[in-house]
Amino acid sequence: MPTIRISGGLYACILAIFIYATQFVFLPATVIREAYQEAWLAAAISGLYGLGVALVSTWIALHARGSSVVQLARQSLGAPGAWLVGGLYGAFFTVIFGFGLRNVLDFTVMLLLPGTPGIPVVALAALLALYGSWQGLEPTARVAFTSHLFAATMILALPLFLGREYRVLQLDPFLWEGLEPLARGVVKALPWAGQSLIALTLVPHLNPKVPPYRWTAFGVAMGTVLLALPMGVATLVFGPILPSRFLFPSYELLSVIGVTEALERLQVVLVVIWMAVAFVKLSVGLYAAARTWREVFGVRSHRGPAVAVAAVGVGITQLYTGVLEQIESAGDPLVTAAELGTQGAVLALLALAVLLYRRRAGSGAGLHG
Amino acid sequence: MREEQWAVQYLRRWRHERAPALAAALSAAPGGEAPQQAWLDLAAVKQQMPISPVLEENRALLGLLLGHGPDVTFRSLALGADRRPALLLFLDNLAKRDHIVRILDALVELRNEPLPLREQDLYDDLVQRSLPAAEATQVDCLGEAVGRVLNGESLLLVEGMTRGIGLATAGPEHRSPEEPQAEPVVRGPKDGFTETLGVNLALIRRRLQDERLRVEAMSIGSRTATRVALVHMAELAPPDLVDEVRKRLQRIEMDGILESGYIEEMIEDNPYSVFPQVRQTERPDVACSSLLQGKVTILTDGTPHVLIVPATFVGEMQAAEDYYHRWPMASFLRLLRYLFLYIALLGPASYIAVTSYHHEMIPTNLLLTLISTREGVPFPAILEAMLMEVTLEGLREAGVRLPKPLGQSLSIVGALVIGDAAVRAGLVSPAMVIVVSITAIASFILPSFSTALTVRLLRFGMMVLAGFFGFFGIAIGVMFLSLHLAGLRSFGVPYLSPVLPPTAGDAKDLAIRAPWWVMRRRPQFMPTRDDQRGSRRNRPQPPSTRGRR
Repeated sequence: MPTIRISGGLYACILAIFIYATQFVFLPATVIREAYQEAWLAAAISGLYGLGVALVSTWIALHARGSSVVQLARQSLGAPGAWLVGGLYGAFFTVIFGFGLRNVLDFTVMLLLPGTPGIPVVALAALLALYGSWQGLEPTARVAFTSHLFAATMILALPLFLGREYRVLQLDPFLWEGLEPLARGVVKALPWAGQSLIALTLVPHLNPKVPPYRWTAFGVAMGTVLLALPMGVATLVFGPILPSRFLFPSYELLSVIGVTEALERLQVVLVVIWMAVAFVKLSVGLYAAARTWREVFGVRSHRGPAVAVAAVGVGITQLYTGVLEQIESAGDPLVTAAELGTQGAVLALLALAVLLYRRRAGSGAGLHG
Repeated sequence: MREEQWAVQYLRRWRHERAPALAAALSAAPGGEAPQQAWLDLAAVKQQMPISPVLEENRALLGLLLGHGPDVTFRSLALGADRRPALLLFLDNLAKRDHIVRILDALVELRNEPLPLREQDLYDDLVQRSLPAAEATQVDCLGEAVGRVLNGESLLLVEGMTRGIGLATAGPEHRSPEEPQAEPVVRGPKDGFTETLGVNLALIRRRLQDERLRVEAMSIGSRTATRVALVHMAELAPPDLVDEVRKRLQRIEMDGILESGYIEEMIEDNPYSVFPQVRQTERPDVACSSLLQGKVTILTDGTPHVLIVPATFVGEMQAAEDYYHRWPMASFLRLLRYLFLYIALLGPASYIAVTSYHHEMIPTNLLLTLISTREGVPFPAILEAMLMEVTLEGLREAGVRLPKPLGQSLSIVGALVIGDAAVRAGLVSPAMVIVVSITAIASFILPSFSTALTVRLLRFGMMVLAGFFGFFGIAIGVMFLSLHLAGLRSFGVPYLSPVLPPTAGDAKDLAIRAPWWVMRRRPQFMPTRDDQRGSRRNRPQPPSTRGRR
């Protein structure tokens, strides 16, 4: 059994961060382009998918009784099953880590440090994530709590500061082109919502005294609200067309904020808060990938694999020449299918592993022999 | 007979495997001087050397072991009516002279009395009837005799007795408790710990008149044999914590402990962290308050700096005075301290980030003013800030090392003359001087000197990050620090307690200091067995409202 324990609150914070952290900046433009004024609804519906993934992950992790993804697969499906599940799960979070790094790089270089070469920025972000993963889940979860507190306050307060800019009619007419745009928006948002798969890594560390399903649902709901809200606000402020022309509609929302003359142009400070949650996501993602690869390759510590995953992540950031190419690629049907396929395959294989284990347990054999 | 000859006589009689070799080495000594190697070999076996019934042999061996410094005093005596030879050995100044005189008076008064012939009777007679020392201990070997004498005790040896009597006469000169210079208060006790362990223990005992105050003495340092006291409140301090502290102290193998800083570095959880994981104080009230919270204090002889474990970051930000002023003022001061912590750590870094990368954050008028003041300054903001900060740190260090009056003058000269000259010469901008000055003031506001030092060090790292990456660099630096602090522990207690992990009950004594009558429980992050500190009835109830409800 893992000795590191995190509380229900910390678990929910990390789960929420995986639902909204990088998505808050990068997803609105894509989803609004497809779903127009129903983008917020698309985000909410994709949250249901995220909830499903998270609940199934929780069910699997609870039945694994503290065993990791790879251990569970090895016990029930044998070595090839462990390689397959571990490989898929490790690769998924390695790619998520790489995409996250790229998101931080694009955002930083475009908005905070124009003209700065990308490599030092991405190297520094990767180093920080590496340090976080080396520190382990407990310290990162604690930092996640404070970062999430600030970020959630910022997003929840966003509508209050933009009240003067709202045009309620921009949300109307509701479903004027039918369900198709909404469905397209949902499909774009699904792979991102499926990142709640991280529950497979987190649940074994969850304090056994807390109700896991309740905290899982709370975390996903919190993340979904924090993702859907800025989409709704962006539509209210900019309408259904303009945000799809922006790269980062949420950032544009921040730049509109102006309470008084003294309290304007604060987007840099708010961006720093966003970065804090993004770094938490990077650290936990790297931790999940490194732990999985450690078990797949039978390495003693996850630190070595973490360095390798960080290096691969930096490599992934260099695959794209710019943010537009990355956004295009993320919206590619093949990429979407691959992401959803990986999530589904991991869950299906692990669910099969649990069922096989339960059948064996019925005949007297346990997961741990 | 010469000293070496008496010693050789003892060694020839002593049944020990190394005795013949030692005797041979001593007897071969040219010119009557024991060779250093023979003396060192003798010292190595001193714990096994029994007290000889021949007084002169004891005198010779103790003389050899202690050397013949001017403070090593052998006082020959003739006890009782039969004039039995005796010897009182002590180190002048380390043993208190009036204690010695009182013992000598008592021994002289025995001159007409017949002394018991049996050794046990004589020992009992001397210890129970004649000697006026507060404490008399039986000494069985020469090693123990040397240890006690070096500790300030006096040793009485009598011809024919195979045991000595250690008499408590220790009382070196010590300064009286004065207000600690590093932790002054406007309101609160003005006494501070001194360099003497006994005095420091007394300062704690005077405040905590509770038999559950436990003091465990130990000696650390093979050559300094520094006395260290582990102090805790039984029932309040978690037994696991006390065991862990004891274990870590006992693990120390070092030739000398000259200050509690030596111990601090050898018992902390993460030796590579820049943050102090052991709190230190010179104030008895702070030590007592920590003991009442269930913490453990470590007192070291020879230093007024007392160690407190476990330490937390929040604790480092609290000053003793917070609990003496009324709570609204105390809370205000605490909030001010956190604000200035931000300035001390990130003030120059934020200035560099804003002026170098994020001009859009500055209102236009202010931006124009800043641009005009920076006009002509030949360095980028990062170099300008580094130049000023390094100069300031140099001035501060020089001010500490110089004699007090000179140090103050230097600070004034540094601050006024050099700063002004640098601005006039166009080397730095006036805005940077303001930023650096406010930062310096901010670092003085932090109550813990160790934390202030840490913040000063980290400030440079933040400046470099801000210089290269603006607010992105600051965000990276802050996240590094947050992750580091979140993973740090002091004796098993998370360093960021009670903020992370959050403990709702401890919110009363965090950034806001609640009134004393609200803080009815001890800190919840310390698992004490008795967590009740005060009663509900402590809430003031003036006569007009009493009994209405």
